[in-house]
Amino acid sequence: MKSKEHYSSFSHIYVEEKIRENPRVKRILEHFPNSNRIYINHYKDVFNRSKQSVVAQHNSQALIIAEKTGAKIYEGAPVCQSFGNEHFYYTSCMMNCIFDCEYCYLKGMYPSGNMVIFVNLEEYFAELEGLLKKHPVYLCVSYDADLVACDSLTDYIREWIEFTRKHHNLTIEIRTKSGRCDLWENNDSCDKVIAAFTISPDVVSSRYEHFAATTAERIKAAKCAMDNGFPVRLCFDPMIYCRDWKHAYEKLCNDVFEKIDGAKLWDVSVGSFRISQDYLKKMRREEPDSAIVNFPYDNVGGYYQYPKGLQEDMEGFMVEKVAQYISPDKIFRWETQSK
Amino acid sequence: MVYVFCAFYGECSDLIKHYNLKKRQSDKHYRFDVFENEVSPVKIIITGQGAVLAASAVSGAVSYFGIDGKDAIINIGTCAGNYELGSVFLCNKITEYVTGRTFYPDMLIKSSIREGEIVTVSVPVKENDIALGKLYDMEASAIYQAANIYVGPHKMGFVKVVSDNGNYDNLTPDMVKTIMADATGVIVQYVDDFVEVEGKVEVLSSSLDATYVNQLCADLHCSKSMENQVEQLIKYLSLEGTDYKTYIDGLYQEGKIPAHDKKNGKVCLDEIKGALL
Ligand code: SF4
Repeated sequence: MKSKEHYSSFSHIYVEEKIRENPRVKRILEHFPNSNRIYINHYKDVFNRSKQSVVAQHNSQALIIAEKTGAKIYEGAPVCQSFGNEHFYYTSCMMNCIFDCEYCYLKGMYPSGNMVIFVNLEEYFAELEGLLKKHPVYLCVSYDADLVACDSLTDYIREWIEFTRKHHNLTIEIRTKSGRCDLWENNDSCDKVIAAFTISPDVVSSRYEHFAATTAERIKAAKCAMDNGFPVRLCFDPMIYCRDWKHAYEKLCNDVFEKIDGAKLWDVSVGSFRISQDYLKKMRREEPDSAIVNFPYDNVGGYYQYPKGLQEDMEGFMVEKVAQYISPDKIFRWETQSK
Repeated sequence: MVYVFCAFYGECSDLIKHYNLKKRQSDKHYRFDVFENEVSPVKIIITGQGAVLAASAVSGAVSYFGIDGKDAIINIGTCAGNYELGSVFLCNKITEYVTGRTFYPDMLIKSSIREGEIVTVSVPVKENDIALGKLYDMEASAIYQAANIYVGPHKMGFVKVVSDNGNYDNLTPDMVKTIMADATGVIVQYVDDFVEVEGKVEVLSSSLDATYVNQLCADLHCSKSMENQVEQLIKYLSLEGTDYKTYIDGLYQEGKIPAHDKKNGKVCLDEIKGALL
C-alpha cells in the first residue's frame, strides 16, 4: 500500500536516450512536468535488474518509456482463453499496470513492478499487417497491462480502434478493470473491437484489486461501451474464492444483469483463478501476507488452481447463474475451452 | 538493519556521533572499522578508498553480519562535481567509468535531497574532465554491484556531498569533515526514513506458528508433500483470520488426531480443508 514516505507513482521516469526526441515520448512527459527524468540506454537496464521487489516498487511505481525491439505479437499461451478463435494472439505495447491486484500474474512474470510504455506502436502495426496477410487474427491488445487505464498517457485505444477498423480480418479484445466511459463514448464504435470487462464481486475488488475501478464503475463502463455500439464481453474470470463466494457471485450476477441486457452481450467468460507454478512461487515470496496468493492451491501439470471440487462448484455455479441471462452458447468456460 | 558504508572516517564522524555508535573491537575475520551500538538499527562501516576495498567491505559484511534481503545498504561519502561545495545529492544513476555499465538504485522513499547521476572512477577526476551535471566518486558502482548479489535495488541508497570541483589537491581532511558535518542533518533524515519504512515492512510480515504446524504434521504422519499442504493451509487460514485451532482441537478431542497412520492423516487433512475452506 502506498504510504506518505513513498514518492507518488511516476515521480521517476526512465527514458531511453535514443527516443528522447520522439513526439510520443514528449507528449507522455508533458503529463509529469515535475518528475525526475533519468535517461537510460535500454529499458532492460532498469526493468531487468536483479533482486527487484515488485511489491516495494508498487509503492512508488516508476515509468519507463522505451522502444520495443524483437517480436511484438505473440501466440496465445495455454492458460489464455481463446474464445474459439483459431489464430489467437496477444501483444503488449505496455508492460505492467497502474492497478495493483494482489493476484496479478504479472507480479510473478516480470522482474519489475515498474511500468513500461513502448512508443513504437507503428512497428506493432507493421508486424500485425504481416500476419494479417496470411490469415485472420484475433488479438488481445491489453493482456500484460491495462491499456484503458493508461490511455490518457498513450491514446493507444483510439489508435488500435482505428487500425482495426481498417483491417477487415482483424478482431481485437481490449480487456480492462477501468471504469472509464469516455473512451467508449468518444471513439467511433467498431464491431471488431471487443470491449472486455473483468468483473469481480465487491468483496474481491475492494480487498484484492487495489486502485482498480469499483465493481459498480466497471458495470457502468461496460454498459456505456455497449450503448455506444461496441461488442461487450464480461469476464467473470478470474473467479476468486472467498468464504461466502456463492452469495458474493450471486449478488454480482444480479447487479450486473440488473444494468446490462444479457441478450446484447457479445459473450461471457467464466474461469476460476489459475496461475503458473513459477509465478505463484515468486508471488508467495513477494507477498507473504496476501491471503489470496497463499491459498492452498492444487498443482495440476505445473499450474496452480483451486482444488478440483471447489473449482467445479465455483465455475459451474457461475455458468448456471449467467445462463439465466445469456444464451449458453455465448458462455465460455476456461477449463473445457468449449462453449 | 541499515548498513552505512563510507570510504573515510571523516565522512561519517558526525553521523557516528549522532547515532551514538562505538567502534567495535577489531576482529581478524572482518578487518574494516565498524561503528555500532546494541540498540541502534544503523551500523557504519569504513571501507577505505576505491572500488576494491568498497566491494570487499560490503561482501565481507554480508557474511560477517549475515546481511540478507531484508537489510538495507547505504553508501555515504564525498564526490567531485561542478556544483557548490557542500551540495548534497541522492544518486539515481551510477555509471562504472571503466566498463560503461550503469546501475539504478530504486528511488522509492521520499527525500528532499536533490537527485543526480554519478560516475565511479578509479582515480580522482581532474577539473577538466568533469562533465556538466555529473558527479564523480570512487566507490558507488562497486558498492552497488557487491550489494546487489544479496539485496535488491529498493534496499540501496547512495548519498554524495560535493567536496571539490576536481581540484582535490587543496582538499584537507578537516575540509571534508566540515563539509560532511554541514550535510549531516539531511543525511540523518534520509537514513532515518529508510529505517522507518523498512521497520514497517518487517512488522507487516506475519509469522507462521511453526511449532503448531510441526506438531500437527507429526500427528497426521505427513509426507513431505502433505507437510507443505498443511503449512500452506494453516498460513492461509491465519491470514484470513479463521479460527482453525478450535476446529482442529475438536478433532484431537474426538480422537481423530493423532491419526493412526498416514492414510488416516490424509483423511483428517481433507476433513480440515472441507470444513475450513
Ligand atoms: S488490472 Fe489486470 S493487469 Fe492490472 S494489476 Fe489487475 S490483474 Fe494485473
